[in-house]
Amino acid sequence: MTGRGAELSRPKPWTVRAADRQAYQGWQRLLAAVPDNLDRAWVALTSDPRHVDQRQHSLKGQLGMVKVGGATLEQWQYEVTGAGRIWYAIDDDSRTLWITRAGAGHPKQTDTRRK
Amino acid sequence: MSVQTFPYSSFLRGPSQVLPSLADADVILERRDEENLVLSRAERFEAVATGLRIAARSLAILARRHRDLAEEVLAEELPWLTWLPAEERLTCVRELLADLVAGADTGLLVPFARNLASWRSTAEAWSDPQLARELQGPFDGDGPVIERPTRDAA
Repeated sequence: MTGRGAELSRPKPWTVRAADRQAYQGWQRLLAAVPDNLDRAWVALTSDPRHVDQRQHSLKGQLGMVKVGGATLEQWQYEVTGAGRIWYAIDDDSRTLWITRAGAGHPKQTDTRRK
Repeated sequence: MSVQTFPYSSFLRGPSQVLPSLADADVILERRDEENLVLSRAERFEAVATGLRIAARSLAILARRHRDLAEEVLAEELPWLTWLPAEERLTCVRELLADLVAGADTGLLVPFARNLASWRSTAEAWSDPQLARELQGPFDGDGPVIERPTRDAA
């Protein structure tokens, strides 16, 4: 189907989407502050959303499951920088990673919002 | 125990720059896009592993005879438990104790370490009440698609 030298796209790629407008704004703020770190985070998430290491792990208890657009999904966290965090929900059916929140961790997150 | 950090690349260029540090410290080799590596001398590695195994087994014995006390002991070591909702604190301690007891029997402590990291991150999220409220959702699922950030986007 593809010609010689044609670019091959990744089979069954994950789509990354903001779960709401506030999550998108948080992502944009991180993008402005730490673009390289966020790029690594995006690649890590879409490569293996359930990889576990020092930066990436599932949340537990009430925060471990979250509703996005009616579906109940696992919620995970990825540490972008020392203080920067992304929280995301994994929808296996639609191969979508929903960014539920993005921003600096406590207590910076509340600080920036109050400004 | 002190720890010294070197870039992995400098270790590859010349291990002799890094190896002398092992005399009195473990060494962390930092890798840019992959998990860091730890270099240690065998004696020190064995000492830590043996000590940990005995401590975990001791706690496991305690847990079988006096579960409440074992939970209390473990909880004292986890000051961030206070950020979790009260009903989740006990779940957290019970899960971690079970992982620790299983790890003491099998020598596999990675599940414990991962569960510990998950609970700790969860507790940190709860430490910011507004964040915790928001992370509980529900979310509309109506935000835009996020493309891969490119390095020249900044």
